[in-house]
Amino acid sequence: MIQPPQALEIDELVGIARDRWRDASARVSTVPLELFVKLAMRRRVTRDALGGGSSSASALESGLAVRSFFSSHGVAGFASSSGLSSDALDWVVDTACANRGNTSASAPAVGFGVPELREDLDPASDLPDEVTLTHALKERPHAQWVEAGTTIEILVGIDGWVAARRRHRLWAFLETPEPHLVAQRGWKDWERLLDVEPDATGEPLILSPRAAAPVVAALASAFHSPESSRPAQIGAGWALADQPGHPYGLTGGSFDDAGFPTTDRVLAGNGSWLGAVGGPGSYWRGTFRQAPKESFSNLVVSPAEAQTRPLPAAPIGRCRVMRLSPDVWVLELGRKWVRVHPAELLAACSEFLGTPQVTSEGPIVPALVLTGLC
Amino acid sequence: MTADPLIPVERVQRAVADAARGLPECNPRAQVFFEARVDHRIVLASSGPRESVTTRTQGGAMVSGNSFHATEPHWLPGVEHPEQDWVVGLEPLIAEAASRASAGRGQPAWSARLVSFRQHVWVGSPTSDVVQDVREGCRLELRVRVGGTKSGESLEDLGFRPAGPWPIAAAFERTFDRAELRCSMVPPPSSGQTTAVFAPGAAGVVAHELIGHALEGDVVLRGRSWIGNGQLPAGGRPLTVVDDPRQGRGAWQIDDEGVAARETVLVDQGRPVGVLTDRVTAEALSLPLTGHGRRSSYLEVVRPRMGCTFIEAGTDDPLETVRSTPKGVFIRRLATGHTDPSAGRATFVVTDADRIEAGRISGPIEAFILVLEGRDAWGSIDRVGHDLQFDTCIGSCLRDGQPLAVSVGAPTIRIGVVGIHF
Repeated sequence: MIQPPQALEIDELVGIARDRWRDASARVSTVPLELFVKLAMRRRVTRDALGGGSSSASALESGLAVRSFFSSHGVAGFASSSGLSSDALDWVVDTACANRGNTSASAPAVGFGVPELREDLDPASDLPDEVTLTHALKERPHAQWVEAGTTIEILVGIDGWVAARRRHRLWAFLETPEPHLVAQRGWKDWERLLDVEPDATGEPLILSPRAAAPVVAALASAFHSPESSRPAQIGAGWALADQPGHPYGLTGGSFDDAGFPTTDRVLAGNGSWLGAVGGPGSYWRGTFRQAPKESFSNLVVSPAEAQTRPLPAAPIGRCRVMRLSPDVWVLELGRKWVRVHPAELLAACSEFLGTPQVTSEGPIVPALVLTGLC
Repeated sequence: MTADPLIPVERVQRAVADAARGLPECNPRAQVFFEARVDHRIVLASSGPRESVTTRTQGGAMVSGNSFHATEPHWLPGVEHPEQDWVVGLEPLIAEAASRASAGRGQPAWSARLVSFRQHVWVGSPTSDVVQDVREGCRLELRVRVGGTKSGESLEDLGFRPAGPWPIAAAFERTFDRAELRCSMVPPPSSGQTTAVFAPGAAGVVAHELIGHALEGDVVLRGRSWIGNGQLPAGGRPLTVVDDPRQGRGAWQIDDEGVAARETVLVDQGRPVGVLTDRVTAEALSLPLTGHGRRSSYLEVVRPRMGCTFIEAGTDDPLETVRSTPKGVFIRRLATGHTDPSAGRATFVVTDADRIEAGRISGPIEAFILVLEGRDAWGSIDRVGHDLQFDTCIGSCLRDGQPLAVSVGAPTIRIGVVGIHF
């Protein structure tokens, strides 16, 4: 019986994952198997509703997922379970083999040249302790909760290679200027994440990084995803890259969740559409309970020339993108609504200003200037 | 390595009781929670491979004082779990119903997404016996697209229980018929205020968003409820809004803190009278426990959550409600955009609606944004039908990133003041 790890020691966990994979492969010797193991430790401090104190919550989560590859069909079976017990493994293997033919079988083939062991690790570090988190929360009445977590993901491929990834992330929920989530990777200067910047609606249409993030994500999905089509026109300022290796990105890594090596990919720049994500290096799992599929990692907007001039007006702090149909989107900007065709919105991205910031939605973006929208 | 034998649920009960006895008795909120759950998702479509995903979840949480800890207990391997064979048995019914309904309609595209779960929970405390509850539900989402250059799409939801009924064939026929009708969609009315008649079931989403969230115990406790002062705008037809977790597609009898679920009247003839509580909020607000303490998984803390929120039936004739509406929109289906319980404001994307002109439903319109300002909308409700229906619009309640299967219900409702955009 496997004891749950009380500490996330990478070498020990890699050994556990290897053993589990060997057990699984022995159980179904005729079907190549891939094993994905996740372990996560997180700690959250929440302000009490009456504001007088706080409560703490900690969670240690483990889980595994198996893809079983039926090479004659080019598809794989998939199943997942919480826990790392032998019972959980057996159940997942049996279920994945029974659920044949329902998920993508993209994975590095035998002989692909994958190293026996790859590691993509944020530096070993303990979570900020409860006292520190509580103190930060008390100092900031507008913060409702703050959470720190470390996640380790270990992938064992069909020929036994291992890829291990470790990430530290911090999240917080702030209630001013309106309720919103903030996030960063790692613990560096994390308390500054809880500080609030002044916010206002503005003319011209300038979106703060937090407001620009959903716009960038929506446009990336519409025009740079595997199933999207090339746009006829893009805004002069539209510059986008998918950077799995970004040092502050909340997702991504040196290998994707199917085990393929990753590279940064420029998707747009200098007024030109340059490509879409897809293929090896872009297979990601939303959670360990999902099979990997082609998607974005860290969407990054880094204008070729650093736009350091001050913002001409206070930026809009919040924007929602509501899709009425594939051709009709509505931007909700506070109490203002703007109806737009996705291609028009892309063409309206005229300029990015300031330094890109990590946002809780994922994109790493500066402020965005939209022109030509009524 | 040989697998450990599966453990009967009785041993789970003993293990949870043993763990609970180790907690301090002096803390009234000390508890042990354990869940064992299986989720299935099956997608069938007119083209493309069948998709099937199965996930198992087992884990526990301990609450003591102001601290909470969750993990997968190493002392408890797999719990025996009866398979949901009845769900798998729905697949051939779906395929046959789709084949019959699409016959003679050209080559429509359809998909059927079947999502089911079965969850067994145990809750123990130092001073009481372990209680347990089994929750089981299934939802079918049908999506149909017909036509070529001018196409129409329609969506329908069904909630299933193991014992049935399973009216799949009729649902497919309705969905195909509606999709064909929606090939002739026209733009919605101009942005501004209008009157909205909600088809039976649809206004349940409104009740959930505007009333239910505003009367969740932690929202009231933080002073962030637009009706936290116990008043709703005057005027309009007095409604009664209820939440009963024992009904609906994700029904529970015992909540995740071991409290018996009970029907809770939130609004009684227009007056806010109830609040959904968990142990923390009930104590802080000096209110009775209502059995609404839920967590989305063992990894999360409990908070007050809705189960099955509905507007009680009135006495008005639904057909007369439409006939007496000179101009407006007839809303069949809507999805939540977002809600601000402190402001009493909810935004929805209306995905299936018709124009009302001169008291007649005149034809389908394209999707639009619906904004309800609670204070205006509530006071302008002037028709409440006698045709209460549940789960015509099915969704999960996503609160603070934590999903939970919920149900909603309502009769035909007319709201005189709603805002529409595009």
